[in-house]
Amino acid sequence: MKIPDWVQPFIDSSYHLWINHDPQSHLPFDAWGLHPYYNELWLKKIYEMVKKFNEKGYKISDYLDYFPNLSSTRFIMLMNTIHYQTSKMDAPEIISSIQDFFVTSLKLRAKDDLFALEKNVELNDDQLNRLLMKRPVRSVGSEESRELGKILVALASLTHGLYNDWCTDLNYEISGPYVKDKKLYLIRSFPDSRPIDIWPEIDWQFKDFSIITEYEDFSAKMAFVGCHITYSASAVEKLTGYNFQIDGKEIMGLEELKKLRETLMPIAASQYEKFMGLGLEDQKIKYVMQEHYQLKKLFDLVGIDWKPTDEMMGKIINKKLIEGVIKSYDMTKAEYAERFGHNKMICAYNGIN
Amino acid sequence: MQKLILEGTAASVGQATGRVRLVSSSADSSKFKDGEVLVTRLTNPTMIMMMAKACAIVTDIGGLTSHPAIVSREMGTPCVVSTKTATSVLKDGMLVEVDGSAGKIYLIEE
Repeated sequence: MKIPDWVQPFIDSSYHLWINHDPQSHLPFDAWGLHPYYNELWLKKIYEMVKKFNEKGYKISDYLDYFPNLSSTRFIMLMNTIHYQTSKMDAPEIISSIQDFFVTSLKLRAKDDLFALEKNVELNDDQLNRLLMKRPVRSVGSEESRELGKILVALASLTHGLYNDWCTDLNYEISGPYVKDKKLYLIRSFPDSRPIDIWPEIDWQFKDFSIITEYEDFSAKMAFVGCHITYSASAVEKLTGYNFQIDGKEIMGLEELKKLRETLMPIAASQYEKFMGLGLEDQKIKYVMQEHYQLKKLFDLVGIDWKPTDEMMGKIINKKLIEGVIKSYDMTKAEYAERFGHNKMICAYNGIN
Repeated sequence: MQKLILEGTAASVGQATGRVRLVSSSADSSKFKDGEVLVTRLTNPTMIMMMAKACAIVTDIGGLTSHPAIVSREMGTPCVVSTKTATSVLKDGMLVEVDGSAGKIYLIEE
């Protein structure tokens, strides 16, 4: 059987994502139980977008900025695979076309380690050097370092409240690790912290946070997506420098960081309270909107309304979550490939339903 | 004298010693003191003010990629998740050492 070259690394890396996870900790609800109601329509909608993209003669390399970041793209590919499995649809052309579309964008952007088994690298050495010339890191004191850690927590938590547990990567990317002159660099991005298309009532103005951090005697390892990074030591104690920008404006120093932390933490907490206070029916609607929003730029590009269709909403409203779609993450890699749809996807690449 | 009383998944490296504070929601914020060990079933973003004050975090459930694990690593706070029974074994005021590198919690006898 023909197996595309990217599939085994995809399985290997994404397997680690799940074996380290606890199904009880999914927030705000067990979305596995929602997917089968609408995921056939969702995959068909993505397929329409890909078809239109190709019909217009666009080249993926010219439109890389329209794709979600690397981690988000990987996670969308993973969800496509699982959606294809749990939808029970038999449409080899659909799943292979959309996966080819996204993996091509990854191959054009990721400099190494396509599915981030160890690292999530988007910049080559020259690009990193240029970035560090343009945005030099400032040395950091211990109190500043702690404040920065708390701000990162506030931003991560705000992202949870805006995008839930399942679309987090769209607004929480960690690129790296990059090593230069015995220092390790990570680049954290929270580029869309003001998604008014999903949350029209948002009343803050900040949107795009970008933080370069520099460490000594420190190592970091990715796990399929950036925010699942793990560290060899305390990221606060080993921090030696940072460059922090909000919407292109640099902020620095203990006082500015404190002020920002005091602003962000209550916002993050209250956004999450707002999400959890919606009730299950409204949470389901938000969930599907968040999932669609990840591809808004691509839908807009080809002239498809990014929002979920009425037909799709009709499929989820007043429907009880299905129990036991994915019961456990305790599985061998072979079991994972079967249960999470990788084998079915491989069959699709061979034209087998 | 220390006694191992609980184990779980090591989610954020480092060791810290403090008194246990059981937390069930953001409503517990007013009683949470700087340097306490935050113990809960699973943290969520409404608890971040308490998490920022905690010397360590321990949860009943959650994996390496759960909310408590991710945010603890960013704050450099030792964290142990998936202990299953932290909220029943640990009691308010107990003095414990949390080893986030080994995934172990020790009771310090006073």
